[in-house]
Amino acid sequence: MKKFFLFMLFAGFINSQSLDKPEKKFEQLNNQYDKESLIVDSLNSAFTKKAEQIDSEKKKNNPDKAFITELMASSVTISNNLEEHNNKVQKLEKELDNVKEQLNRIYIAKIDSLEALKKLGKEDEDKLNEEILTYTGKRLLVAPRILSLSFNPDKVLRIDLNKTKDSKEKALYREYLNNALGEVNSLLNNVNQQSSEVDQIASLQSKTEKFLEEAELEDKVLFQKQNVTSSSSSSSTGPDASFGGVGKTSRDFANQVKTYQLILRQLDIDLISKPDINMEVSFNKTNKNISVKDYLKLLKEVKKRLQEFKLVLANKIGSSR
Amino acid sequence: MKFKFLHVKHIAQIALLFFSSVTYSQVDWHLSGETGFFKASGDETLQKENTLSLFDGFLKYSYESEKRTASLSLRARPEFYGFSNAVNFIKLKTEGDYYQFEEKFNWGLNISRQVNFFKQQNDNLTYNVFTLTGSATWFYFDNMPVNTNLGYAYQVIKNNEEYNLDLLFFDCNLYNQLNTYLRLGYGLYAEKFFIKNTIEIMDTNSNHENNGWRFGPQLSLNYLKNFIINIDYKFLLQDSKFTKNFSYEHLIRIVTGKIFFTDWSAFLLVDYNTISLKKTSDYIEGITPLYTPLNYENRIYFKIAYELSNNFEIFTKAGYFKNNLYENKFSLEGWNVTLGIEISKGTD
Repeated sequence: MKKFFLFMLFAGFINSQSLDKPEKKFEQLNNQYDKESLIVDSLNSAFTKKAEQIDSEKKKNNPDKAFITELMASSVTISNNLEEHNNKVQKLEKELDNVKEQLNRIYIAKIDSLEALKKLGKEDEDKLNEEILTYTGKRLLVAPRILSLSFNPDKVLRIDLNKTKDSKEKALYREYLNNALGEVNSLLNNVNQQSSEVDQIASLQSKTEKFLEEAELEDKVLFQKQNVTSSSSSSSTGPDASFGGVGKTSRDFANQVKTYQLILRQLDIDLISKPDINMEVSFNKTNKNISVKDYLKLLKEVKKRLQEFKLVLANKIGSSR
Repeated sequence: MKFKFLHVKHIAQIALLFFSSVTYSQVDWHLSGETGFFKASGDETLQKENTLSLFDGFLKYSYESEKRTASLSLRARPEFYGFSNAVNFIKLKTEGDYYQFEEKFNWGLNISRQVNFFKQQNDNLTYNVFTLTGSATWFYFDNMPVNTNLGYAYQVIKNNEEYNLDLLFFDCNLYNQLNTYLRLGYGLYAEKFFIKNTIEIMDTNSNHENNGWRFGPQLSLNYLKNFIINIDYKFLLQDSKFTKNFSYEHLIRIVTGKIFFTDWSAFLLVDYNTISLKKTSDYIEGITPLYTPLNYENRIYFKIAYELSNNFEIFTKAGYFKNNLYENKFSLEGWNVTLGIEISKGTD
């Protein structure tokens, strides 16, 4: 009965979210985006052609200055056009991201509600499975892109610049390693920034709780608050602990969690993993339920692994000089 | 996504992490002492101006694993108001909680007991409060968690008279995470209360009872990033044997704080409460028990702290308060300012 009530509550919420409007908007924005991207590509190519023409004319013994001026003038027009369309593309990208996020949420809710229906066993399971598959397919199209390491850490660690066959191979591998190092550095910057922000949030949260506990005890009268369920004074480890006081990170952080967990998995390779590593953030925690404290632990772990990996990369690049 | 390099060994490692249960336990404690001045008016017990010394000892054991946390804490707080004819308080509090984290909901139990001993030259009083709360937070709606609390509490105040209060309470809040840092909450609060007082009239003890409901909507706003601001508001209607419509309460709490220059922090608390009770014709002043919450304290409370190290802090606190106690039978108004130090061990 309880499950049925929850389901009804849940289903009511989901049904109120119409799919038609955002799906149509998504399609329309996609078409516009494709169109604008084509224009940008063609303008880019025209601009490159003009630039080449100018270069080639300049290289001639007797360059035609009037022709060069004409070419430059038309280049400026193309460049202005290009900028205008680039702006449009960027604006469309932002709008598309918003609609994708909205659709992703609705699809997840739909899939969850269909799964719940399946569990109740009152509907045709095959039909439900088919619907789940359709929505899963649709969801994959709009799911947020998970940024992870673009290189293969395992492969990177097997590269030895001193054992390359020739200078060309060495140069190629060096470039690969440098790119990997650049990516690791950039990730480390992101993690540091996130870590410092979340650290401050966690510290502020725990100090506020302490301040409130003191205030409750410091009532000048004998009696303590009757308001026993005051939400502001809930325990830091309790269900209310997280950003803004609710036991769950917001979507922005939740998406980051997935990314960092994936990076951790990628970096969890023989050469750098230690047998005594204390993996405090479990991989099976989903974005549905992770606290600030857990997120901070995850960031620290990712930072540690990235620093180790950076060290290995820097050694590999440095040792061959 | 590249998983090609995830060989069997790596999968085994991940599986191990998947199923392993990492646990750790921790002991936190702090000791603090502060001294300063207070100025009070409206009550005969406390002298109008005097010194004030407060001490606080706190010990907490926490246990944490991947899916659950538990903790037990003890607190002792002696307070001394004045030197000669001092008014002394000793506040003792113990609290335990257990929380479990499931994929789509968290649940937990909190139990607490506080005993305050009040001692003046010819007067002793004890105040006893017990609370048991069951909490659950549900994550069924994306970015809109629902928090529910159900609990029981009792409160006994004893000297030559006795004031008993039993409560059953429930509250439910839906939180709307507007962005990463900003959250709105809206919900309902309901409470059933039972009062039983034994008071002395003409050298004879007599019993007086009342029971009723307090219920109404509640709203909250929480922002947490570079600074924190929490605003809680409740509008409660009150219905009891000795109150008529339209009896109501407004309860507002604002908490704000910021950490600055790394080691400095400042916090401010504002409590503002008003109560309006329409009494029935059989109400007798000073005898009929009414639920006028015992500490509808209106106050502004401020703290600035400087961390000299991870374990050592100096702070100053200042506050203005105005308490209208038990049906305005007592009232106390004033301000205080203190300077103190705290040593601690544990994580913030």
